[in-house]
Amino acid sequence: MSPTPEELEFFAGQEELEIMPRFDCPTMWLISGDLGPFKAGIPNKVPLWIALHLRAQNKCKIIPPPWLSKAYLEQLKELEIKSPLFTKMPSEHYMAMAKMIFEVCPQDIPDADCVKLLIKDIWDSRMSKLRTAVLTFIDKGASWAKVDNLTQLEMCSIRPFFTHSLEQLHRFRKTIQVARLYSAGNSSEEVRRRLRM
Amino acid sequence: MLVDHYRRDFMERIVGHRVIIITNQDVDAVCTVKILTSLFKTEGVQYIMLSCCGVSDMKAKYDEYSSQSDRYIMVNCGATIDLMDTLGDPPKEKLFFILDYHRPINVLNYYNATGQVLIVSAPEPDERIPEFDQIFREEPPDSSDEEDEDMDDDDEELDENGMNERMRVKAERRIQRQMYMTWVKKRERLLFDYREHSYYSRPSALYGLEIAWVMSRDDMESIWCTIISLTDSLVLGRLPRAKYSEYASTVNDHILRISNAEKLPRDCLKIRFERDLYLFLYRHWSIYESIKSTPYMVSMLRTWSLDGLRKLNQMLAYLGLPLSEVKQKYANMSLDLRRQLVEMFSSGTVVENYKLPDVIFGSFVGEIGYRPKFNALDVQLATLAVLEEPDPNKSNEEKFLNAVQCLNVRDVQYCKYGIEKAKVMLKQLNSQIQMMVEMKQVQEIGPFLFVQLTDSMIDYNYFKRPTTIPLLANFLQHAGIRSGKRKWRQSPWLIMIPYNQEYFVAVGLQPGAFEQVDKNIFPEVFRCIKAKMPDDVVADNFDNWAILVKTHKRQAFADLLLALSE
Repeated sequence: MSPTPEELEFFAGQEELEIMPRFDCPTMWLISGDLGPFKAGIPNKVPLWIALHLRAQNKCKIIPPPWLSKAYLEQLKELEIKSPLFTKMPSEHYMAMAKMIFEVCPQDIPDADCVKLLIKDIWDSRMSKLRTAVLTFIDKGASWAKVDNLTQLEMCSIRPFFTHSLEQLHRFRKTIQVARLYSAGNSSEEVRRRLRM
Repeated sequence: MLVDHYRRDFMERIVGHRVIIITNQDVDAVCTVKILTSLFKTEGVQYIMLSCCGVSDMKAKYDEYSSQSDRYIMVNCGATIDLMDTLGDPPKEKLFFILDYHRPINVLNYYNATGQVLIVSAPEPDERIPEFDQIFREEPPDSSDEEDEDMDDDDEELDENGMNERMRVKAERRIQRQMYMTWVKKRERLLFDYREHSYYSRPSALYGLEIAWVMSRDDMESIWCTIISLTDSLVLGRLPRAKYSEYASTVNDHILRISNAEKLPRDCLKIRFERDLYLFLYRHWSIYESIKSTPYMVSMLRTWSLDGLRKLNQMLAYLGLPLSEVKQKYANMSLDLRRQLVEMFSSGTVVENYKLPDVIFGSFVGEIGYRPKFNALDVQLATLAVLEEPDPNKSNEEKFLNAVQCLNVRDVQYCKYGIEKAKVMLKQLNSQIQMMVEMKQVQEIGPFLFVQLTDSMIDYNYFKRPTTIPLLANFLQHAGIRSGKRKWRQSPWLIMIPYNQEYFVAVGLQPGAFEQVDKNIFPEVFRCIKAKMPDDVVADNFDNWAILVKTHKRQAFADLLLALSE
């Protein structure tokens, strides 16, 4: 079963992010790792889910990751649109991370409206490339393909449809094969033997 | 005792304890509670919130929950009464923080000896609270009886010097006693003058915002709550316009501080301070209906009469607003007219010819994303209507919680509901005034102007508590003066509003209370009357210019009032 977008957001929450805490706290030892000592005003790296939790309580300020800026994303968008293949994304979970940060604290990101638009543009162009790739795959009737630099969310968005439709295509092909074998005058046992191979 | 330093004296004593918040039921308390509870949520402070409608209710709730906590925050209740005495002398560990805009502050709260009562809403410099020495002093030892006994016992030891010595000591003590009696008389006079006038000061939500600011937890939502509270004080006549403008500019500074130089993204709450029309709910109604429902406009233009309506139509024509446009819903009006409205109404001709200087006022408008803008005045009226909703199925606490929901900027469902209720409330208000003017219900009794509202077709359920009574009372006064004689301006008013089967609400207003905010002497007067008729008068509210009188004792009440006024 394919992970749902909510589950993928959960995985994205484990990516590291820099924050500027507004409070002091000694080291906390959690099951999934240590949370280093916090000192107000000194930046610290923490997982995304902790960063957002603290931000929602107004206890820290989020320092946006370097790729979540207007200039970088504009360059990335240019590259993406020009290249026929997929370009490498700055983070495996760029879409989920951006969405979660914008939900909680859009005011921490400079030019938040432009950044949102750019991310959406990049996503749209990648999805359209993916769809044409899938179409080509089915048209050619190929049995395998290699794609680089796809992120989890994009893969999981087409996985249910893709696997299901390929399965249907396979069943059609098998039916055609059976019909041909029968019409060539083979007995049912012969057909079954051939198909079982 | 005053709280000077919010973090040291207030927050540090609260964090780590469970807190009980006891509030009065008015819009300012709703706003303050919202700010404080969001602050407590981020700080991890557990709280219990109790809203009460009077002194006895407060005492009952305190008794019920007193075992649960040691820290109490009293919002808009308790400054004017002797808190320790009313709550039955609570033990030393219990601390009470008072955030109240009622004045005068009871001197026993201010000079509390046990250190249990801490006043967060500090008195302004022009509120002259009597000095400690002028109120509290040790009584000198009693001179007469002891001395006589001493004299009898020591009869044997009498000699000349001893006798003179004792006489001198006795004379000294007599002088001391006399000085003490004069001091007592002066003290009585001082306290009488101090307690005579009741008025309101800075809304509690402003203090709430300052506390949040000191803890660096303020955000746009808290500022929005403060704005609603300020607007409420303006609409219900608790603050004069000058003070409102002063506080509004303070709030504006806060807004500028938070939104600073960078442009906020679309999705965040943005608040602007701009000039706007003082017409109730005009964005959710048509301009015409709104003018006919705003007390200020109705009274100045006298739209209860045909003549007034004609004047209104004339004014609208003069401003260039076609009647067909003005009677449509605001959202359907043409865009150019909508944009020019503020300019039109602030033009010199309107101000002079029709004498409407106060139609324009500085107001706050908020917007989120691409949703429709919302005005502070509309949200305040909606919250007021939800708080006072005459639904017998809902308890007061439930209405309070619904009102807190109204302040939510992202989920406007309660606000819309409140606006519909507010429209109903304003219509009731209007029909009441119409009836009063047409049937000439204003009577002159002695130095007072007396209005008795009868329980006919009109639903009084909106106007039962001091939360909304000022709307009705000020409107009545203004309309009465505009429809009656000129000399009525100088008289105080007494209004009787039906409350339920047994009681009427007696409301006392100073002359000219509708146009300038003045100190009200009626709470003291009513207190004296209550002392004389203890069974028939119930003075349970925190705003004591409105008290309950038994229905059949109304005449006796009015007679006593007349007698006292002489």
